[in-house]
Amino acid sequence: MRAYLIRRLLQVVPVLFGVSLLVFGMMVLIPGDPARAILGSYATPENVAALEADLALDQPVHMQYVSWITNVAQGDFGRSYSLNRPVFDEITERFTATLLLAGTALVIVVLLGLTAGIVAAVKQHKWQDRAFTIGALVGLSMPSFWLGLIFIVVFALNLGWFPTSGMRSAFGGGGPLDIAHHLVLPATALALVASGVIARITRSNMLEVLRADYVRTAQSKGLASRWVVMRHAFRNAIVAIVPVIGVQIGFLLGGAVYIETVFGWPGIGRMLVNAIGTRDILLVQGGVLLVATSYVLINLAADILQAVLDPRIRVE
Amino acid sequence: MTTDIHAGRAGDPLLAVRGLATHFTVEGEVFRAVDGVDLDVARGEAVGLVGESGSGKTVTAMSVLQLIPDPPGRIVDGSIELEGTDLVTASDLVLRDVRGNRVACVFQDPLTTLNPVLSIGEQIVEMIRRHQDLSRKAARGRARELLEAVHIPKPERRLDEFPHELSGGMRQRVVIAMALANDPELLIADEPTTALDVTVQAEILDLFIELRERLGMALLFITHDFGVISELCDRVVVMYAGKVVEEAPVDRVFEDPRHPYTRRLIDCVPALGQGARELEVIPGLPPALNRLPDGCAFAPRCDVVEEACRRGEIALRPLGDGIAARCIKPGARP
Ligand SMILES: Nc1ncnc2c1ncn2[C@@H]1O[C@H](COP(=O)(O)OP(=O)(O)O)[C@@H](O)[C@H]1O
Ligand code: SF4
Ligand SMILES: [Mg+2]
Repeated sequence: MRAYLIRRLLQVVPVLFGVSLLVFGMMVLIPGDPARAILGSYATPENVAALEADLALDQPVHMQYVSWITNVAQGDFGRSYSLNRPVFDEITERFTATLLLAGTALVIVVLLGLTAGIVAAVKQHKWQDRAFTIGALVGLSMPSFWLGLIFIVVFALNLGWFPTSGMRSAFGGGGPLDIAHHLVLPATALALVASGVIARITRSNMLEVLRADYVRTAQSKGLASRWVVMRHAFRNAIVAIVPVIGVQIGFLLGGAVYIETVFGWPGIGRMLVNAIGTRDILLVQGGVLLVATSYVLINLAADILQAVLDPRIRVE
Repeated sequence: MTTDIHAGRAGDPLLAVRGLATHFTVEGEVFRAVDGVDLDVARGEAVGLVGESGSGKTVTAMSVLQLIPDPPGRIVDGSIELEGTDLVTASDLVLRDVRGNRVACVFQDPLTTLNPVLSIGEQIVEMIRRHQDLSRKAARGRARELLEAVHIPKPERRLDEFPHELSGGMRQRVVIAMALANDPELLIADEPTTALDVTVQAEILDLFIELRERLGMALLFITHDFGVISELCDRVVVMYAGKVVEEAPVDRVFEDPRHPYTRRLIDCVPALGQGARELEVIPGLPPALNRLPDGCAFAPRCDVVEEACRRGEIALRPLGDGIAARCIKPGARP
């Protein structure tokens, strides 16, 4: 297991290096004067000169990269000219909001997707399975932003159960309950498509393992069928489902861009859309680096979890 | 019921299967995998269930434990009594107390019968604790003893290993140890050596012989290889196309098989020291189970077939001395 862990961690290093090169490349590839572009058209010549020195623009490209990555490693992503605050502060704040949204969606995805998939497999050919097939079809064929709009119209505007937008109420808001109240609609809208994906893969994996010889062995031991389904069948099926969940987390983070826009959620997706609009290059750079790195780390975590769950992977 | 040869035996058997019919429905076609099987296993008796692949041996065994996948399969007729309790109509709770406790099972392929993501210890302990009120620690100690009993070296270490870390033969020993965990009255072994290397086959067979002498439980030993039967079993039941075609004490059946199919199966067994020679096989294939012919199902392959064989149902007829055959010309030779 330890050897597997070390190998897997070492594999991540070149990937992260590649990510950083791409993100760094954004700046090098900007046509014209990067310092001026970063600071916007109202910058003073002194400010431009200071930034040029800071970015080591007078030095060869690889030295620029070294100085950039050194800063980044220390949490210094520069200053956003459009917001007039450190990029680091902005992206961590926004990313926290996105993590809250995507994390809540993930909980829904795991609970709903796994449960629906297990029930559908165990009740194959029965009404639960048919209901599931229809539900999954509807869930999967509906883009999340469209679902979000429907949710807003039905549950926020017509029924008035939930707020239409934002993360906190303007007056007296910001407590955990207030945030949770704001979270329900966007998290559910974001979760449904991924839930359909997880439910389908769970169902098909479960159908496969339920036919396995070791499930028959478990039954022949006199174990209760619930126990057989969970400890023997599901415990095997989950091994192949975990990486798919990892990929779905990526989609949740990506899909958050639409949902954040529809629901006015102050997450990093919406921040990136705005930052691109105002050509706030350092902000885009910092945001993309953070999101891309989290993708890589989430998939690493999924792989490690898979190895923890499956003894056969560890020894390979 | 077509026969009463079981009626005369002394005492009630441990397991009494009567008129068992287990059918599979696939794409609207009914496959009569098991069709009217009678089978007795007395306490402590070792019965060999023999027949070519597809003759319904596994389906018979799985019917006993009520483990037929439904759909596509279903027990459509008959009873399976374990000391008076009919397992066909028993509640789930009753069945769960029988499985693994009074009747345990060893399956064909040890590579797939153990759960790949649970350790050997977890799988045996689970079996023990389902039926015995033991602490985790005590159950683990018992699991260790069981591994020792089936001659697995370094049992303590094996408990924490996973199935893929063991060889096929070792895995089958683990499965056997697990099956013995609750001192079952009946052990069903479904071709437990078929998937193994030849040398390992002999070792596992020796283990069965040893365990039976030591523990004295009843054994229903399924195999397609007549050679395996002689050393291990008291009595033989031969199946063909979902029906019992002959049953007899082991010593008698080798001397004087009554059914032509049994005779041909025995001819297929290589004599000692001629293992490498090309084996004789029975030409032709068993009939399709969804289109069984009228009359004797073996007629298309039988070397002594005649007109009368193809007319009407042929009963399993008692021939005395605990022998019965489903043939109108028992003992006939070409
Ligand atoms: N799961 C199943 N689905 C459909 N048919 C089956 C299934 N299991 C068994 N059968 C039918 O039962 C027949 C006998 O199978 P089996 O009892 O496994 O034979 P064997 O004597 O080799 O153990 C098969 O040829 C097949 O037609
Ligand atoms: S009944 Fe006829 S065909 Fe069938 S086994 Fe006997 S002799 Fe052969
Ligand atoms: Mg079989």
